[in-house]
Amino acid sequence: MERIESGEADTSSQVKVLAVASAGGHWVQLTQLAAAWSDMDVTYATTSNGHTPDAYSTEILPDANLDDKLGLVKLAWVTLRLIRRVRPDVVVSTGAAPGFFAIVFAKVLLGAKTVWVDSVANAERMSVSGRWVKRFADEWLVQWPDLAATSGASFKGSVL
Amino acid sequence: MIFVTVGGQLPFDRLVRAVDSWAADTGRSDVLAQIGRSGSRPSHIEWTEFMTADQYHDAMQSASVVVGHAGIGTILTALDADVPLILMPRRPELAEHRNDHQLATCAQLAGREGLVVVQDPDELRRALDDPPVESVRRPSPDTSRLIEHIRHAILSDTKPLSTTRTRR
Repeated sequence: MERIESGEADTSSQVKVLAVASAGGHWVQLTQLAAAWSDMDVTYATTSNGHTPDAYSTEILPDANLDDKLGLVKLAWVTLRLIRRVRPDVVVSTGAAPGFFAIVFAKVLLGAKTVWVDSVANAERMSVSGRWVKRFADEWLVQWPDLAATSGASFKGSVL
Repeated sequence: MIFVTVGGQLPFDRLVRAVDSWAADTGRSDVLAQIGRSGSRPSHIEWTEFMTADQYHDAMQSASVVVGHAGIGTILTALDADVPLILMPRRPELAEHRNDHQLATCAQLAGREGLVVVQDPDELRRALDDPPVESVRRPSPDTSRLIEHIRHAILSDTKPLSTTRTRR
């Protein structure tokens, strides 16, 4: 359990965080990192089947990927409305498409702090959404050191 | 209960056969194997080709040790279920996998308490005779480091849109 630096405890609970991940492996990885923001004002967003901690409010987003262009449009629209309603200071995501849209909209509309953590399942190549989110992510992270070297993203640890 | 899993993509007969013969020799009767599509069918242990996500989770929770290929999904689910792991990486030269990612994953995880990497059926049998009993400690040093980094980034001053610093 990491220690909170003195002074942080006063302000951290007021930081509004939106933590987004698609159900499944992306979601499991997000929960492994939750200690980073668990004392803050957190809203979780996932697609269906994500098991969310009961203590936190959870939003459900429609899932979509590149094979489903219409679904992506709908996802973008729902995510845009979510960002405008929640107005987070910070958006964190372990992927995939829902996290991409949340980061883009929050950065462009609100200037939010944004964190992208590419899935640990991607050892050789960054995900498509990960590559596309680069310009909008303050923290652009991968979970394998070799991948950091080839992609230009940063390696700061992993969920393994 | 010992739960054996090869993941949802390809069979992994080298692993399943090794567990099967070990069970035959030791008379162990509480082994369940998820053997994958067209997996070679074992004779001395219970098996199924596929499992639903719920069945998979239940099997992980009930097991005293999980024996698996070194797939990320398998590893993450087992770590989440707090169950010790015996991993055998798939080898590309044996057509068990399309690249050496599982070997790289095992290299990254070697030495962790609660997790044993085996390379061949003999090592697997020895690990089954004396399996790990502690679950893998979470969070790992690498995970703590990532959590700290993210937390620090969240609480530090906001940076302008146009900048993404590269870090080493």
